[in-house]
Amino acid sequence: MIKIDSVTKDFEEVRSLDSVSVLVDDGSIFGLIGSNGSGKSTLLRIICGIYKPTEGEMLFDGVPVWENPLVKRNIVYLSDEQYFLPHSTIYDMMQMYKSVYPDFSLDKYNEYLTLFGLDDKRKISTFSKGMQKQASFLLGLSCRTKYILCDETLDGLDPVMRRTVCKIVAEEVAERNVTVIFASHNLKEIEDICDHVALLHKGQLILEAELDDIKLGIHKIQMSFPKDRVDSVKREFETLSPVSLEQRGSLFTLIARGEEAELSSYIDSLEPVFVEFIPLTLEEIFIAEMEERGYDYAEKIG
Amino acid sequence: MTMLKRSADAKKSSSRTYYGFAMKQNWQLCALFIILTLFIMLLASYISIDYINDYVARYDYPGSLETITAEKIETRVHSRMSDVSVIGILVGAGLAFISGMTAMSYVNSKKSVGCYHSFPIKRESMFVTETTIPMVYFLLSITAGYAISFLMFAFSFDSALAMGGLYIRAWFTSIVLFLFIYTVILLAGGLTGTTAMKLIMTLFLLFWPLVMYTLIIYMLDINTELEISYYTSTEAYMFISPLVRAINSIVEMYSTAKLTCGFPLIMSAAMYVGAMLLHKYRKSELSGTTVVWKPMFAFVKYAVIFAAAHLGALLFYYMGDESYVTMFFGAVFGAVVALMLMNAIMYRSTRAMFKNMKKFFIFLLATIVFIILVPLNVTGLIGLPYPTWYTRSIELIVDNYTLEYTDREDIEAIEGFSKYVSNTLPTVRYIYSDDIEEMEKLMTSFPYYTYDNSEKYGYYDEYGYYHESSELVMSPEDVIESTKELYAANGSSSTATTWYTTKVQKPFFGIPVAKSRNFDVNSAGWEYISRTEEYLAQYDLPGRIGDKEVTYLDFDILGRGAHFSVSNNSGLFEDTIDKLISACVLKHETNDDHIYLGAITIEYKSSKNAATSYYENVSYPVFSCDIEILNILGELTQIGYPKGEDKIAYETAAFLSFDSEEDVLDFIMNNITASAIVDATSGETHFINEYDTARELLTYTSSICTNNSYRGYKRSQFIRESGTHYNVLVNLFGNQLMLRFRQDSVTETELDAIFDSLK
Repeated sequence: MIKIDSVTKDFEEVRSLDSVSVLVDDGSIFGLIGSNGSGKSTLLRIICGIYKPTEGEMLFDGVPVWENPLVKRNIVYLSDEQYFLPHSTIYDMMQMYKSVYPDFSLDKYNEYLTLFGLDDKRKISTFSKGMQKQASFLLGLSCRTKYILCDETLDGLDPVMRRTVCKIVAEEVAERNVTVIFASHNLKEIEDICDHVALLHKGQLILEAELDDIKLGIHKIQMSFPKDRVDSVKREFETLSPVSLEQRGSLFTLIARGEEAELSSYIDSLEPVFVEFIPLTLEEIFIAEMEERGYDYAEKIG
Repeated sequence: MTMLKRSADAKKSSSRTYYGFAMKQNWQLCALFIILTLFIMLLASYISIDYINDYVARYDYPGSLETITAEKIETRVHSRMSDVSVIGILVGAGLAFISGMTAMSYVNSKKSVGCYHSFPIKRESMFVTETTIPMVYFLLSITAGYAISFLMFAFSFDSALAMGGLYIRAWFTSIVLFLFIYTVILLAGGLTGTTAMKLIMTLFLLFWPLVMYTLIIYMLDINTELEISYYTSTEAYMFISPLVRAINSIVEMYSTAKLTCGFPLIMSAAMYVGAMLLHKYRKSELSGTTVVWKPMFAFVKYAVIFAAAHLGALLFYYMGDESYVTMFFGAVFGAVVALMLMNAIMYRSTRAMFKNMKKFFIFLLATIVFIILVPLNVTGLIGLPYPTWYTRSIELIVDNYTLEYTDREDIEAIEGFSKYVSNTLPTVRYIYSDDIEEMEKLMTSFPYYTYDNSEKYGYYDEYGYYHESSELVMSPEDVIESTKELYAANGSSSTATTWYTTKVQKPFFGIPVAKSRNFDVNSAGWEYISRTEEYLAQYDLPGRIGDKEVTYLDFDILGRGAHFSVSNNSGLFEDTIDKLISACVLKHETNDDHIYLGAITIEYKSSKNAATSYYENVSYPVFSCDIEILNILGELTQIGYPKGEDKIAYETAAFLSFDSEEDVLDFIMNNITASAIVDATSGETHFINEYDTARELLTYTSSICTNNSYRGYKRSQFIRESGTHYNVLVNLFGNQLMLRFRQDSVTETELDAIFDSLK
């Protein structure tokens, strides 16, 4: 289990993370989402022991990760900016990872190499950005560590390759009970693959829960009312302090927290002409949560 | 935790396996080291062997007058092997620089830091892995270089085997030097975050203390009477800079075969541990920034500005004809330029050149105040002599030898007779001419100029009393006639016997005070110094030279000179020279009552090991009473210049076998072709035709030689001239000599009588 315990990280005068606490269960696929500069990458680097927290503790099964090779040999970190030795091939990098990670599997390496169709004798510097991501991924997965930390790893991969990677991750979780943490802006990907998410904003943890729980607690409802009652209904909704409320003529789109049954009976009591509960995407939840915390999404996109 | 422990037990440490990977990964570095080392050392060895073979071949032809000897070959083999061994040390220094600049380069990039620091390897282990690999490669290549070079020599010349010890010492020296330079750069790398900054920091660590110290010393020279040559000596630099001390120890270890590697090795170890700790506590997030440790950033910047202000001040001071106004502008100019450069380098942008101007102005003001108070010594505190009781030792430079007195009695005596006379010395300007007519015109035209020989002021270089006429000189009398007027004009003024030398006063704690040109040692002082063991030890040639190898011997006595090259005439002079050296033990009394005839100069190697020694030379004074020495020199002349060879026949006649000092004086008299006495005040001259009179005057003289200079001193302490205004001119062996009378040998009244009798 990964325990992020009140972790704070300051970069000189700038506080990048502010007392973040999260528990990540073994065998889960954890999504770390947040706006730019929210501290996702910093948190990931703290988790894998690259950065030392200014305050707080970063524990794996109760053991601190900082400068602890015994813990770190169970963690592989796939950076958003992959590093390869100068003029190296995938084979060279495999040798490096193999020397560092005791569980490195040559079989898996060869299997993934075939799967991704990469030439391990070709200089990595001649690879495209996507191929470099694949190389990074195959090397990381071949390490056979218990924890895999991915920072924007799926960025730059084509849809087929993205799906392949997601499939491999899912298999790894199923077969070896590995724990994977994905940090990404791509909420669709996170939504597709993760079972647990945490939302960071300005270094603070805003939300952390099972994805299904999040979806259960927030709802998007589309409804229409007779024209003569539109104004009174609107005033009624505003008193609810909804996460979001949009009105187009007599059509309302409401995002609000609460139990589905309660919301349903409340709306029914307003006698709508039409009502429908629409599934929320993670992106909508993300935007809604961010807006609630003063991140003016509408203003950003004009 | 249990799972982790089990995993650790079951598998090999990642650090160890990574080490193996890194060794293989850096094979190019290994190849570079081996290629460089072997190419340079083996090429040098090959060229050297070829040179020696060529040298041997020169003797190998029918009818060769000389035969090659094993000694001759050995000397060359040793000398060449010594050169190659030094090349190995220089290669070590070069490889240390390459290794240092390339080591730990991953810390300079955020990307690579992210990768390396996520690995299950402790930072210390990573540091050790990354930094010891170049050491291993260096060790391999330098060992191979020395071993193969040695084998090449050994297979070519038997005598090379004797150099095994030197090669091992050189090999070890190169390792120590490598470690020292390498760890300095590692430390610099630990403080900085870019390669450019690492280089600057290396230079800063190595040279800033030296540069700053030197600048302050030269600034002090403007307004103090300190002897800066002392403060810029190796000894002083060793005191200031651990670098100089370490390098000096390394050189000493190589040259003297003493194990002086302790200090540099301890320093290297300390710097290595320091660099490792800096790496351990270095923040990964700061990778890629110029200076990782923020306080260092400001320190380096302002330290460089401080040095630049001093440099600017110094340069502008001299460029501006020693003006304090231009000095001020120089300080500001130097500081501003340094600020702009340092800001541009450190912030990696020319747009940042004028950052932090407020802080800069405050610092500049403080620097200028410092320059006024310290280097310009406006308070006058710097250079004040220490009280005698606080003086640990006194160092004097006598005859270019450094004598250190630590005995309380000596210290008190020296302090008693020494005085600083700078403020009492008059400023004397002089015009030099070696032309009599011109001098007379000058005397008329510039009455305020003195034609004194200026010796008593000690400031000026000696200039000759006369210059032999360029016109054809038909006889010795012509020479005397043509020069007597000059003696009359300026030859009488040299009456002072002041003597200036460097005196260094070393306190129990503090910076030594070294003053030189204005430190006056009077005759009482000289009496004292010349009787001390420290001084006499310099002229105890058996103790000094012992069985060290003499390379040549020169003498210049009574105007006769000869050169004896020992190294080119193996065995020919050695026994005689050994005998001569045994006879050369100076006694203080010698120079009081006898005539100085000239000097012997012997060059010898500083140690028995031909390969590591350097050349030293000693000059030894010869007096009319040194019968044994003169006789041995006569023997030497007979061997070197045998009778029958016309071109050097006169050399053979230079010395005969003497039984007494009387014989020596008779010999001198027999070779004087003309003599005259000159009243130096009036110019009145009388030839001395009476043998007995000339012989009598000869016994009163202080020296009879062409060159009174002795080891660079214009007034040798071995020549005790009186203050009389009479001079004697003689023509000895065709040389025009001016003889002066020895102190206390003859009274003025007696000379008046002799002079009058010759009218």
